[in-house]
Amino acid sequence: MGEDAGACVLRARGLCKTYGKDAGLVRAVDGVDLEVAAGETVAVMGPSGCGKSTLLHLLGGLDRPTRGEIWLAGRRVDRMSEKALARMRRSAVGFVFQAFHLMDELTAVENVELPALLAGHPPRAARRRAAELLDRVGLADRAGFLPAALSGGQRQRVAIARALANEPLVVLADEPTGNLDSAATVEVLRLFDGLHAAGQTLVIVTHDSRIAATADRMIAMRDGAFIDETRLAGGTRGDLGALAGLDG
Amino acid sequence: MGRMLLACRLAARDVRRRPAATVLLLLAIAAATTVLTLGLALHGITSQPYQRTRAATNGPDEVAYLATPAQATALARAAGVTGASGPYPVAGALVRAGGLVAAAEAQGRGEAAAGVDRPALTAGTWVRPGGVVLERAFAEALGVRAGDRITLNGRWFTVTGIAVTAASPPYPDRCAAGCVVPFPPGAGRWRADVGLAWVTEPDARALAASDRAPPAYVESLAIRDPAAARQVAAAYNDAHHGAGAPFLVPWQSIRAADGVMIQAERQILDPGAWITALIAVASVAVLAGGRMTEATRRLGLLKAVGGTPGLVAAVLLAENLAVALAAAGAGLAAGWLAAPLLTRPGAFLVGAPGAPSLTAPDAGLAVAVAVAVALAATLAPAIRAARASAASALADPARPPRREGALIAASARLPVPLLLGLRLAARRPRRAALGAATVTLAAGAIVAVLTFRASAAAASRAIAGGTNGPGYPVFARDEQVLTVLTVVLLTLAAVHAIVTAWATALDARRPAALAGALGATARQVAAALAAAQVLPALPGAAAGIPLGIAALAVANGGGRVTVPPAWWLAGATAGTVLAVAALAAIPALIGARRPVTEILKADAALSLSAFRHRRQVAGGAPEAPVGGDQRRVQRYRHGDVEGIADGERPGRLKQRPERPPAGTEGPQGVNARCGACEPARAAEPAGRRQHLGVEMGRRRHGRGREPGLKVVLLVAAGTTNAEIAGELFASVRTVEHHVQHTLAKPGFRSRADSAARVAAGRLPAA
Repeated sequence: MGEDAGACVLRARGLCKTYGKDAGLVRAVDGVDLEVAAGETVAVMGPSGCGKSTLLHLLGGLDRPTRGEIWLAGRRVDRMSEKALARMRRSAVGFVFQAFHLMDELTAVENVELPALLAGHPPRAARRRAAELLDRVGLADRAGFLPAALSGGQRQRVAIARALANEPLVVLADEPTGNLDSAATVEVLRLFDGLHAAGQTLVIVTHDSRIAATADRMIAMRDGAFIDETRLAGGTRGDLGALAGLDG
Repeated sequence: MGRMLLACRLAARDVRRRPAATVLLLLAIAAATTVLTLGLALHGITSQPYQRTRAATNGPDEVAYLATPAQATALARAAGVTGASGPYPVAGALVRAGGLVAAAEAQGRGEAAAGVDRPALTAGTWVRPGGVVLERAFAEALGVRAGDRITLNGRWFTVTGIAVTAASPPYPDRCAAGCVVPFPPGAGRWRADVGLAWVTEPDARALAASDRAPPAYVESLAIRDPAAARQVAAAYNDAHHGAGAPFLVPWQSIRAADGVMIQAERQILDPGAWITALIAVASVAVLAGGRMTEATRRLGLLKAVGGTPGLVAAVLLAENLAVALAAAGAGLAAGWLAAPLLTRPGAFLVGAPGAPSLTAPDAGLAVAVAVAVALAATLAPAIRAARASAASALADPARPPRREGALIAASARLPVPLLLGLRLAARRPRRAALGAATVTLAAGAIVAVLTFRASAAAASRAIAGGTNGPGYPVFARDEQVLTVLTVVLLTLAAVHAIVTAWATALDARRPAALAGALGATARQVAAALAAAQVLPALPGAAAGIPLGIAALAVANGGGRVTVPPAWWLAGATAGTVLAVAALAAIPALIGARRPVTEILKADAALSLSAFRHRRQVAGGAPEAPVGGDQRRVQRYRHGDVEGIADGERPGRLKQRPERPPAGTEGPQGVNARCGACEPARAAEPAGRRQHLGVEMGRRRHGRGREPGLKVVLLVAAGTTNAEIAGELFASVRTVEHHVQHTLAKPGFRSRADSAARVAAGRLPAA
C-alpha cells in the first residue's frame, strides 16, 4: 500500500464488525470499503443504528474489526497491539464526540492540552499549543473556564481544539452537532469548514444534512454497509447561512 | 404486605445485580462486628474469672505472710477469723527447666487437701515427696507439662501437676499483691517475676536448708465478713509493722493484681474496636458514595413512576438490613471463634478458659451496631431521594467531581500514569482523605506491633539482667491481642482499599475511557487508577509510624517504648503501600479493560436505554451482555426505527397492535413511539424542534397522547432528563416540567406497583 500512502490517509477494505453468534449475530459494519484522501472531508450519513459510529470507532482504533483491513498513513492498524493502537490514536487521530466528552474538572485549556501531555510533550509547549488552538476556535477568552460554564457550542469547539492538539492526520467526528442548537451548529460547521480549507482530513458521521453538505464526499450508510456515494465537488463554502436554514 | 414483598423483591434484585459491592459491604460490617464481639467477650472475662476461681478453690479472704509459725497461732485466734490453713513454710527456689531459669516461691503443703485455699489442679496430681506442682501461668511460661523433670535449687523434682489458685495472682505478678521471698537465691539480682510452686512440707524445708536461710511462712485465712477483708487487713497491718511483723493481703488486692493483665489487653482492644469500627464506617461511606449516583437515580426512578416515599425507603431498608444482619451474624461467629485465641493464655483461672460466654445483650449490641452502620449508609441517599424532586434526582450525576487547580497544574509535569492518577485522586478529595486515614491506621497498627515486640524484648532483657529467663505471658498475651487486632485491622484496611479502588474505578470510568480515546494505553490507565490509590496512601503510611509509636506509648501509660529499627519501620511502610497498590490493581485492571467505545457511548445513549426498556417489554428476553452497537443495530433490524425520511422500512410502529384502553396504557406504545422521534428530528426544520418531541409525536403519528407520559416512561427506562432533553430537542427544564406535571395527575401515582416493576425492569404483560 506504500505507493498511495501519500494521497490516501485512511483506507479500509472489507471492514466487518459483528456481535453475537448464530441467530443473534449482528453485523454492525458489514463489508465497508473506504478510502479517504489527504485533505478530504468525508461525511457518512445514515439512520440511527446503521453502524456509523461503530465504523468511526473502527477507523480510529477504539475498537477492532472482526474482519477486514484498515490502513492509516500506510500502516496497517487492525493488527496493531493495544499499546501501538493507543500510540496511533495519540499521534494520528483526533476524536470529536457528540456528547463532547470533556473532563468536567479541567478548564478549557487544560482539556485541550491533555492529549499533548498524554503524548509526553513538555507541559509548557502543550499549554502554548492549547492556547493557540483555543484562539483558533475563537475561545481564547474562555481558556480558564470549566466546561460547566461554557455553552454547548463552546464545549464542542473546545472538543474540536482538543482533537487537533497533536496535529492528527485525520479528525473523526461522531455526530458533532447532535447535541447543539442551530446557532451552535453553525459555529461548529464554520469551524469544520475552516479545517477543511486548511487541508485537515476529516471524517464526519452525522444525521445533519447541512454538515454533510460541506463535505467533499457524502456516503450513505444503511445496515452496516455503504449504499450510496455522492461527490459534492467544491463543497459549499461561502453559503453557510442559507444551508443552515437561518435565512428563513 | 404486598408492598413489603415488592420492596423485598426489588432489594433482592439489586443485591443480585451487584454481588461484588454487596460482598464488600458485608465484609466491612462483619469485620467491625467481629472486633466488637471480641471486645465484649473479653470485657466479660475481666469481671468474671477471679470470682469463679475463688469459689472453686475455696479461696482465702486474707493471705498472711509470717516470719515464724508462732505468729500464726496468734493470728488464727484474732477476732473474725473463721478458718485457716497453714502456716506453710516457704522457700526461695531457683527453678531450671529445659535451659530456662526462673525464681520461684516454693510452698510446703500437706498431701491432703487444705480447708482454705485448695489449689485446683488443671493437670496431673497434687504434691508428693519429690514432686512439685506449678502454678499454671508459671508452667506455661516455662513450657513445662505434668511429668516433666525440673530442678529447684539444684535438686531434681518431677512436675506432678499444674494448678490454679485464688491465693496469688498468676505469674509473673506473684508479688504484685505481696510475697515473702523477694530475693530468690542464686538469681543474681532481684527479679520481679517470681513463680509459685507447691512441694511437700519436708521438701520446702529442705529447699530452705539448701539455701541456708530459714523458711518464711504463709497462712490462708477465712474471715467472718469477706467483704470487709480490705479494712481488716489495713487495720491489722497498721497495728503490726516493723521488721519480722506479719502482714495480711486481702483477696481484693489479689483480684486487682489478677485483673491487671486482662486490663492491659482491654486497653489495647477497646481503642482497637473503635478504630476498626471507624474504618468500617469509612468503607461503608465510600461504598455508599460509590453507589450514590446509581442509588439516587434508582430511587428517583421509583418516585418518578409513582413509588411513594414509603416504598422508596422500604426498598433501601430491606436491602441494607439484609446485608447488615448477615454481616452481624458472620461477625458474631468470627468474634466468638477468635475470642479463645485471645483468652487461651489467660486461661490460668478455672472459670475463664475456653470460649468466653457471649451474653444475649452483647450479641444484641453487636447486631445493633452492624445495623446502625448499614443504615448510616442508607441515610444519605434516602434523604436525598426523599427530598429531591424525582426530576432532579434523575437529572445527572449525583456528585460532580471536585477541581483542585494546583494539583492539576502540578500533575502536568508528571509521567502519564501519575498525571492521570493524581487528577483522578483529586476529583474525590474526601475519598482520598479517607483512604489515606485508613492506610495510616493500618500502618500504625503494624508499627505498634513492631514497637511492642521491640519494647517487650528490651524489657525482658532489662528485667532478666542477661539471665536466661522464661518468656513473659503478659507480653506474649498482649502481643497476641495486638496481632489479632492488627490482622482484623489489616483485613478491614484491605477491604477499604478495594472498596475505594472500586469506587474510584467506577467513578473514573468516563475519564479513563476518555484518556484511552485520547491515546493513553490500557496499561497507563490501569496504572493511573492504581496510582490514584497509592498517592494518598504514601503520606498515610508515613503518618502511621509516629501514630503507632505514640499509640503504644499511650497504651503503656506513658511508659517508655523502644523504637524498632528504622528498616523495620521502612519495611512496614513500604509493605503497606505495596499492599494498597496490589489491592487497587485488581479493580483498576478490570476498569481499564472495559471497552472505551461502550463507556463513551453509554454516557450519552438515550436510545440505548430506551431500547433496553422496550426490549424487556417486548419479549422479556434475557439481556445478553451485548455492546451498545449491537443493541442499536438490533433495534434497527427489528424495524423499530425509520431511516431518515425513508418509507421503505415499515416500522414496528405501524404493526403495533392497537393502543390499549386508557386505564391500562402501558409504556410499550409510548416507548416505541419514542423510537420514531429520531428520524423526525433529522427531517424537522430546526426552528420547530424547540417544541419538544411531543409535538412531533402528534403530528407524525396522529396520536395526541399525553406528552409527559412519554417523558416519564423514558424516565422509567433509565434515561436522565438531560438525555431525554437531548433526544427530544427540548430543554432540561421542559422535561422536568413534564415529569412533574405528569406525576401530579391522579391515576398515575396510584400505580405504584406497576411503577416499581418498571424500575425493576419487569413490566406486566399489558
